[in-house]
Amino acid sequence: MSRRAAALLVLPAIAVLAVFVAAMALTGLTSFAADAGRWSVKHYVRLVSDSHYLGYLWRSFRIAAYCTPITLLLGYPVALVMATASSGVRLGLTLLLVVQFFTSYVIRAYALMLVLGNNGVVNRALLALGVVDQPLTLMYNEFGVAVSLVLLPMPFMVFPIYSVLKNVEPNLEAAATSLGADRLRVFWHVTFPLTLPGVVAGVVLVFLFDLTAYIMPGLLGGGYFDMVANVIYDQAMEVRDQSFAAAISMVLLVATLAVLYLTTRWGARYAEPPRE
Amino acid sequence: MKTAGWFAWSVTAVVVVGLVVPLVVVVASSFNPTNELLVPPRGFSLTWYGNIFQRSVFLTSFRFSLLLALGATACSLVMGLLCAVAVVRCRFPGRDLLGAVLMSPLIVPQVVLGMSLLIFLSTIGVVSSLAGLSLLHVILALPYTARVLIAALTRFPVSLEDAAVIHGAHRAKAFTLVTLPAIKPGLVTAALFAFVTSFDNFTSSQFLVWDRTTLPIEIYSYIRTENDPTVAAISTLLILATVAIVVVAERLVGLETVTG
Amino acid sequence: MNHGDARVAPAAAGGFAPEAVSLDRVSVAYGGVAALKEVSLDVRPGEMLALLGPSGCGKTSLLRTIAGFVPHTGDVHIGGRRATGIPSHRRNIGMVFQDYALFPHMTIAQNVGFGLRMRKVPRREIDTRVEEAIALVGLRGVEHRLPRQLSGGQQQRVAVARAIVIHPSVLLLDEPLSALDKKLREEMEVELRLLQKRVGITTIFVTHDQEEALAISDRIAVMHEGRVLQLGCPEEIYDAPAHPFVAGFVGKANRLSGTVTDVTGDEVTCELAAGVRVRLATPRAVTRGDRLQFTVRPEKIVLAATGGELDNSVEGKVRTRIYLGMFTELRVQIPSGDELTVVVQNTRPAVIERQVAPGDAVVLAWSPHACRLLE
Repeated sequence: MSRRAAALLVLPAIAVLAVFVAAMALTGLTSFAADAGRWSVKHYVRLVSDSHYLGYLWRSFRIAAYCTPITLLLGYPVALVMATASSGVRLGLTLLLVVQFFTSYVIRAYALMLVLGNNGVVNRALLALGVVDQPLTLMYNEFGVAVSLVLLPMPFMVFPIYSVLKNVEPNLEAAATSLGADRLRVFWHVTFPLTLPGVVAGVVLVFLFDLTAYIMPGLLGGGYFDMVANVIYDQAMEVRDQSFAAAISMVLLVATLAVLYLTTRWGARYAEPPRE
Repeated sequence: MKTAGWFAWSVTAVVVVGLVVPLVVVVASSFNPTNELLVPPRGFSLTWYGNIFQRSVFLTSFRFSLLLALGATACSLVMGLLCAVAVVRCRFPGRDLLGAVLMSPLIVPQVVLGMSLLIFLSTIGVVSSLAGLSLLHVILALPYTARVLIAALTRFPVSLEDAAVIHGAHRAKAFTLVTLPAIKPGLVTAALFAFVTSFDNFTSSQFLVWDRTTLPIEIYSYIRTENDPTVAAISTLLILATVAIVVVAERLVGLETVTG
Repeated sequence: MNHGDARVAPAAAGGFAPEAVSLDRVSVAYGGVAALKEVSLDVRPGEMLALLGPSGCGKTSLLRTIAGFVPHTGDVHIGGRRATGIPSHRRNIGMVFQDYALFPHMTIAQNVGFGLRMRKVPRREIDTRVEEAIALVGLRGVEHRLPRQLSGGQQQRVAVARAIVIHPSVLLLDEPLSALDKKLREEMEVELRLLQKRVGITTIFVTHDQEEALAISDRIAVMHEGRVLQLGCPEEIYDAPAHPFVAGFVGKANRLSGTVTDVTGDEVTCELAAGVRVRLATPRAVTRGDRLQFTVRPEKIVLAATGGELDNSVEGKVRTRIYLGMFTELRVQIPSGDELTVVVQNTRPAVIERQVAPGDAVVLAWSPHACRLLE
């Protein structure tokens, strides 16, 4: 088909994407805007010199850094079971994860609140069993937010790993076995390294999900444990300091891009090298 | 050869419990006769389901979210399909760049996207409008529809369409009669992604709503302010709807296109 | 390097001398469908045994049973020890897979050294043995490449090196050459055979290619529908098929049947339809009136003009002629109604000698000893 036809086809999408790009660019400009139409880096200076705001950034990174490995540790075995179990188990797990995937985070976070709250099932079970005499504080703190950040992005971890895992050539594992590797070593030396592309994809998705989370700290943190996304919203909509919010946004965006860039470069080691 | 050991099965059991229990608790709580969110519920009542219909905000925001999602789905599906045809069938400069730009809204944190669009719209003087919110939702849904449809169209052998043309069909007719039916699973999946992405969106939408709000935003603020089992009742209905949609999608096209 | 090393080293190190494999009434079923039916088989130390048969005959199941990948009934002994119940990774078996199954994320050296690492062999020794094995298969210089950077033939050698470097009790090859194109496959057949003799390792290989089996094995087990029909050296399998299936599957065979009309010494005369008489040498006693089934290989029949004094001669009419360069294949109908395939060596160029054409009348001749009686 001709170039003109191609141009006509992509025109509507380009128009929409142009707005998107313009909006991002405008936010970048806004972050450098000072009063009376002058440019300045004062919002960035404020961000890096104020330990209060820097603390939120650090907190988001810290939580994402430890929640993501937990999600990986929980999600990989699920993918393994999905790839190897009977078709009934596979379908059941797939349905469960897809339903999770398509259910609003607001609802899923709310559901966790009913589990973790003072009157929630966990506390009521612990009280009934006599393990504790008063309810544990399981939410409106870091713990509750962390639990939600581990559980809610589970499909983002499981699906990429599963889609790589199910395509691992079974003969590779048979070969390793015939060469003397027991099951654990077959997994560690063959299966796991071969699924690294899926692992990297899952880790990146979940890390970015955690890093930029808004709803989970909003509900399970209940305002007592905000993360950087909540701060951006408050600065933009409550404090109405759009330039400062834009500056934090830019830092968050650059961090996101950096994570993607580094993992893509690292992941390229597993991409196909040219045949000699 | 591959078999998951007891460790993998135990972890899976833990994850399943972690994912299923909250949903079960929501459903159980929605039948509480009192204002308490208790599991198991003390008795059985549909009070809170009735309350949904007494609170007109839930009904109006639901209707608004539904229309918004349908509109965004239709727009992003058409745009995504056109882009997919261009990317898969045409050779033109900037083709790879287009592919990358199409995906880029996925990379930007939702909160940043919402705020940026707010800044942009207020700069050009468009505030508190359906146009702005619709634009946001199309931007959010387009990467999904484009990605799914590009994949579907790449797998479809163009020789089939050529065969229809050889047998006398106009190219456009061949596309609608041969290609579109063949990529139906892709279309269904793309529509599903687009609809859910729009309907469930909260984080970026909250920057652009005015006196008309979407359902997730109403639920969120209700949880943070009143928090009685009405939300559990709404959640139960939405979870049931999701389960129904997923089961239908599984029957219709399988879930492989979702899980990858 | 000294190629003897690979054979001497294990014995010197007190390791595993290659020993035989023995199967005793082994049966395998997949979901109720029998893949192997009470197969008993003894593999001699140091021999190269081919498991030959069409797809679905159970040959791969047999190989995977020896490797320990398949649940089965009956007993498997490897190197004189009972292997039933011993998990695959402790059977000390070398296996080469059809698609080679090279680990794509490991270099060639890492692939070849994998089995040694699993055995916790000291690093220095691993390096030496990997180097030796790679040299043995003639692949020096590719140690640090990845499998996908090698050609199919090279990958095949790596797979062999990886399997033999661990000094396995037995080497199992699952259609090792089927992924290679014809010319390369023929080269590799010779190479594999030489390598196996040099290393002296008991080898069992699965193939559906009868030429390959004839070319490189000491003995062939022809399999069909989960059973071993005949076990013997290539000459026995080809020249003395014991079973109609073996006769048909290995090489081409003309099958004829008739009634015994005369017995003189170890030769009998057999009458086909329409009074066509054929004399054949028979190793077993038959009497007049017996119905006999026998085969004649196409290359053992000559056109009488060039055939000299052979005892059987039958007239026939050429139906089809296929020119194949090295030889010409003719289908000739004889008065009994049977159609015989005849192969004629093209000893003279076609431009000099007029070739037989369809419709020509010819006389076919063959020796009574070329006929093989079927059980």
